[in-house]
Amino acid sequence: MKLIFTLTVLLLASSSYAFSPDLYRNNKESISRKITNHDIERMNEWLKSHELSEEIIYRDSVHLLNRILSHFVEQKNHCDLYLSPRISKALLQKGIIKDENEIYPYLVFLRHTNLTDDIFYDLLKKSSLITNKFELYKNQPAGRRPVNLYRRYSRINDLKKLYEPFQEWPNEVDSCTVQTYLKHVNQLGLSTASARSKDLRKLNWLALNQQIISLETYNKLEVLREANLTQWLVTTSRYIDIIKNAKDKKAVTVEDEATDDYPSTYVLRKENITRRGKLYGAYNSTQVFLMSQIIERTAKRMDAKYVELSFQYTDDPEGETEIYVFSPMEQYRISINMLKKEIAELLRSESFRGAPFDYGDLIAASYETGLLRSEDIDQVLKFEDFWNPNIPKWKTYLNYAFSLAGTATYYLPPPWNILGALGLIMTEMKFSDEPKADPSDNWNTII
Amino acid sequence: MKYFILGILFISHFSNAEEFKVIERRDNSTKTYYKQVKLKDLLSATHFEGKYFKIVYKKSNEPIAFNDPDQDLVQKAANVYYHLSNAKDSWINSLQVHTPETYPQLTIRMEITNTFSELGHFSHDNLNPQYNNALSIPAGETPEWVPVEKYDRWGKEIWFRPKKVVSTKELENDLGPNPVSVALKQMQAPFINYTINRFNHSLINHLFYADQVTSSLRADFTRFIGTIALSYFVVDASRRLDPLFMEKWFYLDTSMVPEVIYHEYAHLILSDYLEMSHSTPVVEGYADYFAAIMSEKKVVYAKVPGHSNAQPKDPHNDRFYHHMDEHKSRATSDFVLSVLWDVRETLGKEIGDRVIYESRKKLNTKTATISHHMLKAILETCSEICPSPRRDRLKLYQTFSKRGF
Repeated sequence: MKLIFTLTVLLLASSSYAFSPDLYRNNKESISRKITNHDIERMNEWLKSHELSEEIIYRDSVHLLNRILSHFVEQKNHCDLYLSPRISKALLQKGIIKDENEIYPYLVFLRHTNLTDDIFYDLLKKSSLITNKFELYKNQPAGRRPVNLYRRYSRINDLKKLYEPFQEWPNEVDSCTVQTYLKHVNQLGLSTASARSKDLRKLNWLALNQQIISLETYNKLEVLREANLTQWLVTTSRYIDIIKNAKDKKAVTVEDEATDDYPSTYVLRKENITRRGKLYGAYNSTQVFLMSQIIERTAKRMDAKYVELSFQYTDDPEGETEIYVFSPMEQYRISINMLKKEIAELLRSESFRGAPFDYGDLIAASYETGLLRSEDIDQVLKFEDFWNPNIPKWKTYLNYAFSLAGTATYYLPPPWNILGALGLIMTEMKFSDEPKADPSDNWNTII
Repeated sequence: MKYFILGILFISHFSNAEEFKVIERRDNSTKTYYKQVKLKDLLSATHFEGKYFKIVYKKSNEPIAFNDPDQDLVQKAANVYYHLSNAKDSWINSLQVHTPETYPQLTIRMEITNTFSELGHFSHDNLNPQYNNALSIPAGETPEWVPVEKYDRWGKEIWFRPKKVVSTKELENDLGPNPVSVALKQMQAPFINYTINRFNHSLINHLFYADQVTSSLRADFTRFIGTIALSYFVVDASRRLDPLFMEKWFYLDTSMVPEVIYHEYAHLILSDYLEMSHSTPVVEGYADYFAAIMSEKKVVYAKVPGHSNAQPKDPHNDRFYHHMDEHKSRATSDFVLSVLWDVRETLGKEIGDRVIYESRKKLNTKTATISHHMLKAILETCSEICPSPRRDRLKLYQTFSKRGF
């Protein structure tokens, strides 16, 4: 009896402490935009040469990530460089990797087996690169003196003040390297990445030369400068915020696997930014929740059992009234019209000042919160056609060609103009889509 | 041993049962063929009386004999019996609806011209005889105040009217559109639009570039008015060609059209919710739908040479909804059938059939409208039984939207 009690307490304790693997496990991206075939080949080679089986690595990884992340999410700060050294250390202890460089194929393994998604994979990979370089370049002598050392875009004179935050390097618990560095960069007041990089190189060199910072700090700052931190779309803090507070929070049953590639479609192809990546980069968990609630309310309105329009003809609420009951299609249309109105209201709200969103973000947010499942996405995306119909390019060109040909027939002498017009009308009828219903023809509906 | 021999004799008797010539449509064709068949579940070796159906002549309650002198009637009775058996099997095996198994023997009346009376089963013989039609009637009983000698009690029945050749001029509805007129009508609106635009263009030229215009404004105006008048004349003249596209005579022997038999049987099955009190577009549309899925043809109620030259109904008709489709005069149109067919194509055969069948529970004959109650019933039923309710409901909304609802 005593044993059962002890086991139960232990089980409860461990389960209350555990961070659910469902949260960081990928169930939102059907394809990866971050790992290449080459990455997978390298991972396979790594797995082949490994003495542990894939199953054991997977099982140990779940346990290990769960333990580290459980501790991490409870912290006040979610520093970007906190996880990678701890994960590496734990992996080395478990014998899953033999040196720090093996972390890269290991991270590919995590993404490939859907233990992480693209966003977390990218964060871990970038932070591992930085922490590995910190160690690698720790004692490397400073490079050559930059040319035109005193000609800079920024007007920083007090180097001591500028480098004060780095007198003691952030410990990734109370203070974070990435956030401290970003504040440091912002002090330059420069908007272009190249200007920032050029200035920082000179300033770092000057700070080292004037013995304001140590060689180790200088090398670390140079690693951070080369890592282009200001270009990072998502930070670990934002990632944790969304997966902890928004991801699958509205799901009735959590989807195991994504089957729609909409979250992985590119929003900006050149920058390799996907729809989901943009969501994590641009909005916090509250905003994601607010966006998702719009779709939730629309779905509720569509599913409503009874919808009516009520007219009160006099000041007396008990006086003459009229009630019009909506048909299912009127209910559908009014729900979509209200969706459009709510989007406008949310865009005007304080919560979204400076972070405008489009309909695609709304879908991505609803998918993230688990309100929409993969199978629903295609259908919900069609709502936008209601107020913003998608006209294919070829059709735009065709319409232009018809309009041009129509004008040209004006200048034909009779009877060729009539014949030309007839030919044009017949061709247009042939090319046009099946006729669309005109809502004004339906006298049975008011919306 | 005695029972065994009797059993053998019984089996051998029915294995040698009489064969009848019935109508069949083959493959995906609407053409009709005659084939010899043996009838199933017969209880009699001499009459059309089976476990599930009894085929009688007019108001009689006696089944029609195989050797009835009117061999035409025998063939019709055999055809009705055969297709009703097929319909019953199809409901049970394909649609997994087991209601037919619970029915008592149904009486099927052939060649009956009386109208149905809720008070006395049959109206008076001389009262407005009916032809070229079929109907299903609800079970009933004469009221208590009717004299005992006239007391009658009846179950659900199907009535097949005799065929009567009538001139199409006597019919209210035309029997088919004139394709020339339809095409010209479609082109008329853009053509007139174009002509008006051209006139506006000419007017601007006259006002602002008068020195470069060779023709007079009056001549242009006359030409444009003439063109518009000509277009109206051509469309109107084409309508006069209608008789060329119409049948001169109309006749419909409902007992010889397989889909009509399926349709009437569907009324019986659906009557637990969609009462057979009167004919409405929704009630007829539902029966048409189940007749269509049983016939598995591109069109239903296609012509049967010598028996029916009625216009077929097209489940793929993509006409838009019009408020007049709710009117009972449109009960025979194929609009509801085509909307239900769209539901089937949207949800897939199996789920679509199930949703449509179950949706009858949310409808009633007296109040059900197409645009409100029927769509609501289908959407609500989909919420209950569709595999992915939200996705499937959204698909249905799109489908209904495309039909102009």
